[in-house]
Amino acid sequence: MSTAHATYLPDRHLFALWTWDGSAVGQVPKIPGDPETVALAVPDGRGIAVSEVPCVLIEPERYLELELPEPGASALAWRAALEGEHPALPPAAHATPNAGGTAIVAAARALRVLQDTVALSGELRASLKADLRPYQARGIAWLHETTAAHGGAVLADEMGLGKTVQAIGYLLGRAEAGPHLVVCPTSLVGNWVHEIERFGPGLRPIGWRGGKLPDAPAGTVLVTGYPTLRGHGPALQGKQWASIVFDEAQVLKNPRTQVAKAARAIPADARVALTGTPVENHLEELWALLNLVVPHEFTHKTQFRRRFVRPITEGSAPAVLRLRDAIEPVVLARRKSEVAGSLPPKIHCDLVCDLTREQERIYDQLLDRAEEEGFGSGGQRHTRLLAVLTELKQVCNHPGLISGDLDELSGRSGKFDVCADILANNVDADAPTLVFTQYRRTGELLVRHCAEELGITVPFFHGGLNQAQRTEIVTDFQSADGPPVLVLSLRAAGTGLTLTRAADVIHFDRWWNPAVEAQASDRAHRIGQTRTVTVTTLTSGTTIEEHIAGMHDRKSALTDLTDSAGVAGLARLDDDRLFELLRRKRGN
Amino acid sequence: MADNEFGYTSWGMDWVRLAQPLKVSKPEPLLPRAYSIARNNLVQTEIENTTVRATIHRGSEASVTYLELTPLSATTITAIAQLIPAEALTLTDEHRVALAEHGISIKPQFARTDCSCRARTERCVHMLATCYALARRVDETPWLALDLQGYRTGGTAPSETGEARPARWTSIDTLDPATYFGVTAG
Repeated sequence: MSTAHATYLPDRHLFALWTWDGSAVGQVPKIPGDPETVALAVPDGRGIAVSEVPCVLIEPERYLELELPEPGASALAWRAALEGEHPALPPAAHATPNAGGTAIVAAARALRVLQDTVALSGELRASLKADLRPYQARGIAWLHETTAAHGGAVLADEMGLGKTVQAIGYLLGRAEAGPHLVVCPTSLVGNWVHEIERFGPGLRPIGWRGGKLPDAPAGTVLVTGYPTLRGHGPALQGKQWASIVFDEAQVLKNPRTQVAKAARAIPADARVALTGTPVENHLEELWALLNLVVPHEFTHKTQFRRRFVRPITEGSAPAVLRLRDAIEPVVLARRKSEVAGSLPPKIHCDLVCDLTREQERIYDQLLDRAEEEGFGSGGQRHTRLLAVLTELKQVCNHPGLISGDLDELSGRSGKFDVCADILANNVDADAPTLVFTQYRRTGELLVRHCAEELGITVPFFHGGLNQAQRTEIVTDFQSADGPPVLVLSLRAAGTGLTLTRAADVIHFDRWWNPAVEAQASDRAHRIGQTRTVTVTTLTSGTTIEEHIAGMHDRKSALTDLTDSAGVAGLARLDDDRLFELLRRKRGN
Repeated sequence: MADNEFGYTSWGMDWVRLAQPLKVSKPEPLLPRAYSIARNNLVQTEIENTTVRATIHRGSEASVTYLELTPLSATTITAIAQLIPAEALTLTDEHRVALAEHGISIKPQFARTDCSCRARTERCVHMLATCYALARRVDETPWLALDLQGYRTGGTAPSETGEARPARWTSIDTLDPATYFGVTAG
């Protein structure tokens, strides 16, 4: 007689359901859900050993509604636990092994994690304006639990899993504890402020770019960039922060740099580092992160190196397991493939990037000139407007496209820097990526950047290629050892192609018509794609691009929106309204 | 701490000191061999509570060495528990210094040593090699230094000191397959 068992997977906040036919693991239970093979500790005849068990994964929210045939003691115990009781859990209920395969999650911890996470998602439903996925609720509960125990935590979920919303959820829970500090790449300061406003209306975000430190009562989140931290470290050190979040914390990988020193010197009750890089591939970097957030646990670099780095580089497999077990209490790293069941097939990740000073200056100059010359009227108005818009959008992409000074690429365009970070990260993580742009020269800059900074040859698929060249690029990219990045022109490559080797898509600039962007994204998200596709759009905050992004949100329901409708719509406005739209919104 | 091959933490150094005591009256000719055996990972150690069983295969010889450590007294365990938080992930050299400052000695003491080899002395090359191998294990996981002396494993673990946080993990070895599915499972 086969019985069904439920094992709780704490990191993912899911139940693995499996069956036991009396002497061995049986068939997957016949219930709707995501089938997957999970490593569990099960009896193997002589004792208990870790083996791969075919399971169906179920979210706790759906567990109670489930009609499980022949439920075993573990399945019944979890049902009781979800109803608020404190049942005794048999080992089958918490048989999730550690990395070394020597131990399973303790029963009391499994129970507490489940009940805390369920309680927390209930609490946050009111204050956090986002639908949390199960693993995100777990991530927030884990952050609370870990920072309480150790004073710091590293959240290293893969890109696209929503580290930002987890961090905001965490800050919301601590809003009363005092002021908070978020440090992120300069171009993303605006994005953080925007996301905090959107998801956590109970928090008061302030973007800070140096100068006098604003008053920060409890509930305030001061958002600042790494360069500001470097330059104005002492101002931030004078205050006791309730929590400090380092976004893209791999920036601080070298502990000897000024910015890393400034980061370590800021007093905070809780320190959280967010990173999307696969931490285990860069052990020195991992040490720097651990030393940043839990300095009392990871104090000596030489000891860390002797304990883990050296044996691992010498190829010791036990050392890898030892490392995982050693960092497990303070590092939570989940991969998309692990939580795929909770993810939609496509994740949208809209980043609002800030302009650099240079971009702001050129953007304003272009508009001043346009205002002097005027747009005229009639057919001419449309043409002139189009020319100005093109120039503005190019400044948003990279100021060098207008000024002609293209010697040095990085540090001059917010979007370009963010894109460069994502690409470096994806190349590192072995995640093939498609980058779409409307402008051939932007594409060429990206290709050049990849060659110079990342040392990779990136093909550029644009309208100037003949059929043979196009086919070659596509076959080449789809082959297993194809290039890690492919740059495409939105208009030339937006339709027809199959590029499913990539599961990451970046839209470097915004097109008027959301359907065109969606179609381009579908190059990766189409039949043959087995992974979750992450679509990242880059928008320059406060500019015309934000207007376009806003149009997407309002009009994406309309299917007959033609490409020229956006420009035509603008051309119909009178000059005052038009300039009001194009001018940068200073408020940010 | 110096970048020694063995004993790069002060916890591991205690074990190196068992093989190389600071007070020696005559040179120990076996040390280089013992060092090289441990260095080449030729010592297989099995640890159960306060006993260590080390197997060393070398050429045509094989030997089994038993070491048994004197467990820490209950008073020492309580004193340590007050200085080292139970949730500390790794014991650091600073913890070791703190213990020393409070006069708590945690230097390992042998209750019994035994080796299957023919050497007439207790300090045979195998026993010395095992000390080095344990020094390496302790360097990797300093908690082992205390656990080998019955700190968390001897059954005398302090349960009354404050609200001890529940353990994160349950060792697979302590699970009984008969009760794996709970009492009702067939």
